[in-house]
Amino acid sequence: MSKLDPKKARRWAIRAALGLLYVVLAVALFVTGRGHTILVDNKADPAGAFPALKAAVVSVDRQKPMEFYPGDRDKFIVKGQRHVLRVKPLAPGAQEKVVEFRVPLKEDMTLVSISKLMAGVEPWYEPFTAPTAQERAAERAAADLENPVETFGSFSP
Amino acid sequence: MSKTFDVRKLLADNLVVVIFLVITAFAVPVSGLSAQFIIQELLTRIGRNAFLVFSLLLPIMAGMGINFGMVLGAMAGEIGLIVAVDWGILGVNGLALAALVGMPVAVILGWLAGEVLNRAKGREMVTGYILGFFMDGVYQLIVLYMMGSIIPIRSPAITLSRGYGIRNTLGLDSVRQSLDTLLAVRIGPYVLPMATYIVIAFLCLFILWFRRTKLGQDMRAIGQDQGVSHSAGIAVERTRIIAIVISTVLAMIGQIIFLQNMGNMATYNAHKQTGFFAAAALLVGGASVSKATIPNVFVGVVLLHLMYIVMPRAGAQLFGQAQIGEFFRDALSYAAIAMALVIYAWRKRANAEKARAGLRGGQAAGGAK
Repeated sequence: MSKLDPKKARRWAIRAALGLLYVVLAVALFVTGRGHTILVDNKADPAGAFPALKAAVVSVDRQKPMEFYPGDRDKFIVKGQRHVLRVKPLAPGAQEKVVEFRVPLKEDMTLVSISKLMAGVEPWYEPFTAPTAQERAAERAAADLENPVETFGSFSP
Repeated sequence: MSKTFDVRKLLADNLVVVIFLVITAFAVPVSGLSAQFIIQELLTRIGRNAFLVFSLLLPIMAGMGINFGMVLGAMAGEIGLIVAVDWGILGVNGLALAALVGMPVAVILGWLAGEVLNRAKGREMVTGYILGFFMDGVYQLIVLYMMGSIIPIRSPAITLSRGYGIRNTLGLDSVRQSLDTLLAVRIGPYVLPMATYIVIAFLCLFILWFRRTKLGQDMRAIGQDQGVSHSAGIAVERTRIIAIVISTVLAMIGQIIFLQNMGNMATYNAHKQTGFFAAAALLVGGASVSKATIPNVFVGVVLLHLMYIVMPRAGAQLFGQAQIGEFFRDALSYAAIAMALVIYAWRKRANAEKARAGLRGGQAAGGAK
């Protein structure tokens, strides 16, 4: 069996190392740069298990804090998977709550319920999928079928 | 021996630059725009466009003229950006990933272009231009039909409502001005995108270094005379391909920098005018199809964009319609390219005649025409 020329072997090793570095760099950029939308929600439980916060200042990581009132929902766009959520209820003597949470790499949107978090209800964050335009249209069509609306021209003698 | 200063020769050598200077000198006061606004716009546009114009230098050095095939690199950059936006990669990471994704595409396209241009020696510019049109069709096939059907696209926000193909306008919010704002320095009333300038400065250093390497010297030798270079043992065709590959890769990065500054992308049109604007800028800067330097890039970007900034307003002030100024600036840009090509041909002929006269023993040429 003929031996590989050391010069050629060295060249191939360098090329392989560069190829590997290329892939590693791409993966690192993907993991550290992956963006996620954090939807922060301040709604009460319809069944009355927990109330909405009357007023709170919320921030994710080092982003600009936002004020939340009952029924509010807003978003933070974050980079990476590990995040710090700060919730400070605007009430005399209320303590700021700081929690760390992790968003899975593949998840685009995460719904964080600050009312659940402050009431100690688990899980206070979960994946969220925004309905597509077609799904919304299908929902509307189904609702129309359930409650038909009489419009001008639909009346038959 | 002292050299005599010949004003006519100086004007003839820099005719395009002089014409642009005269036109802009006339248009600036007419436009009524403040100096502060014009300077800020120029500072932004230098960062936005200079990289793309730099991508034209190496093929000129290798004697291949203006690489109108740089639109291939621009397409590769756009494909990279589509992928980065679809994967939801934010900021500079998104730009870097777009460049990494676009790199193999640009290398393959550059290599293909180089092979084609080697088969069309002497007609590289027109061949590159037509190659750009051809690859535009292939790009449309990939982006309009294959993305979302064969090539997986995750985000419904960037696909057409039919479920496949990318939307006509792609919002680049996830990477918008991420390089420009990475290190934005405020000096007085002006904001300087220092990170973009640093990237451009590195490219300048790379070009200066590259010219001194063996490969750079080979390119310059090929640019001087291909036959002599071949006889000297230089792999002419391989070196020309490398010049085009590097130019295509630089155009890919340039297009990413350009689009991140714009903040959105006309998916099917953004690359079409890239080669034309870059070529116009370089020629307006005093370069020719056979010689271009780093100062030509900066002078050209400043002059061409100074005209682009002031012309619509000057048109509005003079004729009551900004559109006339727009037409005028487009016409002047095309005229710059045409004039540079004509001057190049004229100079080449004049030099050949001078050389022939020298061979005859100093007699002026006056023979058969």
